[in-house]
Formats: sequence, structure tokens, C-alpha cells
Amino acid sequence: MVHLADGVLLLAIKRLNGERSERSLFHVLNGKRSATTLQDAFFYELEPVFGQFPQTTYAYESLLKGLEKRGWLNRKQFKLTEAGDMLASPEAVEDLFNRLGGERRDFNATTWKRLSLFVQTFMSKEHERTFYPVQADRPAEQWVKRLLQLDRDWKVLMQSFHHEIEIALEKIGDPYATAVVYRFTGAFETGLTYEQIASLLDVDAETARLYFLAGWNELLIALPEDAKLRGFTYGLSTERMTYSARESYELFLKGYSFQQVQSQRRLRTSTIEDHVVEMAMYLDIFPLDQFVPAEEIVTIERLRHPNSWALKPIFEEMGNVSYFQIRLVFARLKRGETFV
Amino acid sequence: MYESTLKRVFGYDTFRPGQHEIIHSVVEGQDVLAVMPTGAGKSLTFQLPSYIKNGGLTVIVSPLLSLIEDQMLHIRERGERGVARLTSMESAEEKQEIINHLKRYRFLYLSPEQLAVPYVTRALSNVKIQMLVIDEAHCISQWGHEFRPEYARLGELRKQIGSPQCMAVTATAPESVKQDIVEKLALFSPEQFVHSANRPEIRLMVERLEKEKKLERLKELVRDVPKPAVVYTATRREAEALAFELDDALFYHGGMSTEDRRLVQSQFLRNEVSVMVCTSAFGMGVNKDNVRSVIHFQIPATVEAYMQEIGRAGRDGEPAFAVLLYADGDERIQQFLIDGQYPKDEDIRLAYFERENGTSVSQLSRILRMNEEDPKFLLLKQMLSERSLQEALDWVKERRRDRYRQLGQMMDYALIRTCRRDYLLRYFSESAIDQEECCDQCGAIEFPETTRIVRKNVTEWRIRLTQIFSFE
Repeated sequence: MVHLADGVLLLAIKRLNGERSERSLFHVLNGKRSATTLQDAFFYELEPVFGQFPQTTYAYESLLKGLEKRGWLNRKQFKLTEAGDMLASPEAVEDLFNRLGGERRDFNATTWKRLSLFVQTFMSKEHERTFYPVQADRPAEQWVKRLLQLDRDWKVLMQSFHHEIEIALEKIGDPYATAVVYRFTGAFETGLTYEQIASLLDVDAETARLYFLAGWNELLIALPEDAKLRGFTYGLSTERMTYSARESYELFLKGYSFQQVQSQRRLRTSTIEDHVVEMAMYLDIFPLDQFVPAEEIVTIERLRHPNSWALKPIFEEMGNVSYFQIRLVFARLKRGETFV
Repeated sequence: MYESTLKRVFGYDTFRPGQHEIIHSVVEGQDVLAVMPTGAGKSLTFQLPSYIKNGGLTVIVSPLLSLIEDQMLHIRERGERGVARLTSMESAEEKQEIINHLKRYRFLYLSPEQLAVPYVTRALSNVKIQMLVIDEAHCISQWGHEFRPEYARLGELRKQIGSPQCMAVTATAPESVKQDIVEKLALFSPEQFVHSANRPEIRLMVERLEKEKKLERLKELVRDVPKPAVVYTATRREAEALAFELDDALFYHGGMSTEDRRLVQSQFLRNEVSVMVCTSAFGMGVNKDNVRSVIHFQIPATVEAYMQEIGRAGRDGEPAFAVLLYADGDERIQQFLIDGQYPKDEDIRLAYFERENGTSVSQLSRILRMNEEDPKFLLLKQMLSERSLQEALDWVKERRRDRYRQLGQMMDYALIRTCRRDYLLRYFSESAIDQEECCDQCGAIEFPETTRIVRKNVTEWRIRLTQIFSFE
């Protein structure tokens, strides 16, 4: 039996194009915030799955073994076989993949923890039912506690929440709506596990989990700007840039030079370089020519193989540019800019 | 004489059997060793004296995060805010905050590892401690079924925090383990309270059958036994597979995400699902008193574990059933699991060799291909620091032999043709008890008629959403 969730993982491997290792994907799936992993996610279009498959080394190893055993994966090259490629190709796989929301980092998951715990807590209190908190997350607990201390007409607000969720889910439709709604816990209804949701939807548990992630992601996107539910995202950001890179960015904005940023922050050259690469990847406007001479930019663009983001061939062929510079140019090309 | 406190703080009118005596000894300042079955109200016996004496902090050492979390939940539920915990779950800042304000608290829960952290020990030696409580005290004994190396230092740590009054509590402890507890914790002429291990409301049954027939029989049993029911099995994979085969069943094991684990527990507590298939990870700290049946699909590793697991049934005192399914050779799974808990001889030799040649601990884990968090690796690390190679080899050999012996005693329970209750009681050095409705050896056991609970059909998501947000 082949499940949609298998296809999603295969598609992740497919997108890596045999240019990155098993370990690289592992870190992307776990959402490691290191420069290399952030770049892998960006260049190989793995942002949606970033951090959405947290797992142990052991589980990852058995996952790969499974894919290999079923004849879908060539582990030596870390590329799909023809059979694997077929399974990664359907539109439904790509559609689900692109909706998973990893590019929003912790935003979705944190919002879910807050809202689900709030609904359970409030409704249980309202009905005077003791309850077993569905979330064991300290920050979420404290956030909900503080929220409840605010003097609001919660009952009216709850009705707005209900309404907003319903309207958003109408747009998104099933199976996503079912997967999201059945994860909520009220005063009398406990949320379902992914296995249980899977049997409602007649899929496997992992696919049910992905439906939830996608549905929740879409719901947050579908909310109007003035939705009351947006209160649950208070203080959260969908920003991809890491905190440290952002600090460097702010110094650059103040007009500091590379060297000045570095001496101010007392970080290694390579670290500041990583920050600049983040800026090149995530910012709408980036002064590429300050870091790479114009003619080299054009050469790099010309030399790049259209389906590849491998740095090494270009580094070796040119000889006069650094990996850092190639990365910067690649980042802008990846964003759709062109210099030729 | 403590009834008014009982009523005021806990909201109960009367004590459960045995509680009053223990509380009295504690209030008098005695060291205490209490052996009480799960569900007999252990925690009340160390919590209530705190309200009577108001003599400082009560420090409770507990081995499992889930146990700590659960007890804290209960304490907070009754409105007590003076409770905190120090475990691996708290951030460094949170820990510091707690340590800096120890006087705010009445109860402090921590893991043995946390108690051994020097600045924690130091901070505790500077505040007034009314009592040190060692929960699951059997973990201190190498003879016990759940020996934990972290427990070995507790006696010394007790001294370091000023040798406060000490209470050791456990659900099950044969004589050898009790002696070990008293000795290791240096309890001073402790009052001992030993509740009978007998659970008269539980009927004991063993069914011997062929391996191939077990699943089919389990399905029948799950249909026929009164519910809610818990099915215990040996591995996560099997728990998942069985839950899939059974009606109205969910699985529960340590490999699930916290949120899913919470959902499963909550559904079971609220009777939204009637059968739980689990590994031994389930139950610790789950307070559900109307479990009617416990079925073992695999034989557990020890008699103590079995007692603890069937002890989850019938806590409300109403009749309950414990059924063990046993097929020849079933013990091999447990043997395999036991073997997997100790490093192999060749690994021990290699580790000592590498260590002598200056290999660092982190390199060692790579050479041995073990995860640094693997309990086997932690054990190895501890052996390296405390024992010679020969001692380590002997120690592991002896431990393994002990565990096999304990498994043998559990198998005897499955194989005997005499009263099963008798066997269990003798195991805990108690004398036999005659009772009606005892076990399958004493007479035929019949399950009462059960009404089948019909589950609500799947509702459309809009309706479900409305139910969740309903104020009606």
C-alpha cells in the first residue's frame, strides 16, 4: 500500500536532485537552524517540509531502509529510482507537500498549541469539567493563563472564533477540515489521534497528520486581517531569517560595513557570511553588487546548469570567486532575478 | 484526629485503610517505609503531614517525569500553588527561579539526577526540609525489578541536605528489597507499614494456548470481558498492530508525540474509548478507577511488574479481571528485551580497552555504535567510572541472571496448577487467603454480561466544531 505521505517524502528526496546527502534531508526534516540546512531548504524547495517531520536518527534510518527495500530509493546516490519517481510525481503529492507550512517555522505549531489549549481550558471551565490538558507545553500554558486573566467577554469572542474557523475551513474543504476539527478538544469531546483521524478519512496515520498540518496552515492563511483569532499569533512571526542574522542585518541597515558588523558582533567571518546569505535568500531587495562584481554575477548565471544548485563546478571553473559569492548569486537567481 | 485537615485540604471525609497510621508516624517524626499497592492513596500520606506540621519543604524524589507531572496536576487541581518541580523539562532560568524562592513552596518534586546536581543539593541544604520522600523506592535495590543506578546515591544525598526525616514509599517490595531500601537510605529504626499485596476484587486467570491462536482469543476476550479494559503487550509495534485488530481500541506507548499521548489518555479517562493497548509505559500515574479488566497478551518480565499492571484494575473496589495469555516460548521476547538492556561482553571489553587508551566518552559511543542517551551506554559509562573490567563483566552477568530468575518466577505463575493468588502472596512473603471468586484454579470464572457500548457515528466536521464550541 502506497500512501500520500510516502509520496511527500519521496518528493523531498527528488527535489534534492542527488546533490545533497541523506544527512542534509534529515536536518531539513527536523528543522535544524544551521546555515547549511537553511540553504538546503531554500535552494531545493524544501521549505514546506522544514521541521515538519521531527524524528530520531534511528527512525530516519529505518525510514530510508524502508524506501530502499520497496525499491523506490537508491541510497548510494540518494536519488529516487524510476518507481520512486512515479510515486513522487502526482499532483496530489505536490499539492500536499507545498501546503505543509514549514516555511512559517514555529508560527503554525505555536499558534495551534495556544488555541487548542485555550479552547479546551475555557470550555472545560465553562462546563465545570475537570480536564487533562492536551498540550504539555510550558510557554503555551503560561500564555493561556495570562490570556484568561484579561477582562474580555470571552463567550462572545468564542463565538467569533468558532465562526472564523468555520468560514476558513469551508474554503479549504475536506479532508483538511475534518483533520483540523477533530484535533480540537472541548469540554466533552476529546480530540482524536492521527490514527483515529486516519480511519475517518480512510488514509494512513502519517497522511492524516500531514492533512492536519496543511489544513491548519491554510486556515491561518485564509483568516482575514481583522480576524479575532489572529490574537493567538500575538508576538509570533513567520519570518524565516534567524534571530542572529537579523541582528547583523540591522547593523548593515545602519550603514555598517562587513568588517564593522563583524567586529561589533565579535563573530567569525564565516558566520557573518552565513548571515549575508540569509539576507540574500530572504530579502526582497538585496545589494548583490556590493558583494560580487557585476561581470562575475553574469558569468555565474551563465555557467549554472539550469537544474542544479551545486556550487562546486562553478567554483572550480571560475577560480576567482568564493563559495560565499556563488551562494549569494544563486540565492538571487533562485528568487527569480536575472542578470544576463 | 487529622480528619479536619483531610476535609479542609483534600475534601475527603474519611481515610482509606492504613493511611491514618502512616500519617501519625510521619507527624511524630519517624522515618517510615510504606509498602502500599498502587491506588491505595500513597501520596496523601506524605502530603497531609505537611499541612499539620507546616515545618518546611517536603521534597519528593520520583523517577518518572510522567509521575511527577501527574501528581503536580492533582495538587494544583485542589488549589495548592506551593508546588514546583525540577526536572529535565525546566529551562535553566526556570530552575534558578525555583531554587531562588524555595521558601515559596510546600512541595518540591524532582528527579534523582536533579537532586544530585551540586547547586541544587547546596540550595536544599540551606532551607528547612520537613521531609524527604523517596517515591518508587524499590528502584534503589538491585534486587528490585526496576533498579535505577541514579537511585544509588540517594542515601548520601540525604546526608548532604542535612539528613531530614525520610519516608520511602513503593507499591511492591519483597523482603530483600525492603531491607535494601532501609539500608541504602540509612533509615533510622523506621516504622514499617506493609499493606497486603492482595487485591481481593481482582479475579486471576491464565489461559495457555498455542501462539497462532492468541490473537483470535484476544479478540474474543476483548469482546467478552467487562470494560474499560487495558491490554498489555511487550513492544510498541505489537501494541499498534493489536489496536488495529481490536474494536474500539487505541494504542499507547512511549514513542508517541506528547499531544497524541495526552489525547489517548484523556479519551480513556473519559470513557470515550473502551480498550487501551499499551506497553508498560501506560499506567504510571494514570488515575482511572473503573478499569474492569487487564489482559496480558505477553508475559511481563517480573511478578512485581505483573502485580503493578493488573493493579490498575478495580481500584474502585468493584470486581475486576486479570487474564494472562501464555503460549510456550512467549518468554523469549522478555529474554530478548532483558539481553538488550545490558551491554554485551565484547562491548564492555572494547569500552574498557578504548578508555584505557584515552578514547573520550563521546568517541566511545561512536565506536560502539550506541546512542549517547542509550541506557545501555549510560550504564557502561557508570561502570567505567566505578568498576574494574572483571567486576563489570561479573556484575552484568549477575544482573542478567537475576532478571532471568525473576522471569522464571513469572513463568511459574503462568504454569502452576495451584491457587494463583496463593502464589502471588507467597512471593511477597504473605500468607494465603481464602476467598470466593479467586482464580481459575480455585473455580471457574465467568464474566458478567456486558452491554455493548455503541459508538457514535462520525459526525460531519461542522457539527463536531459546533459541539466543541457549544455553551449548552
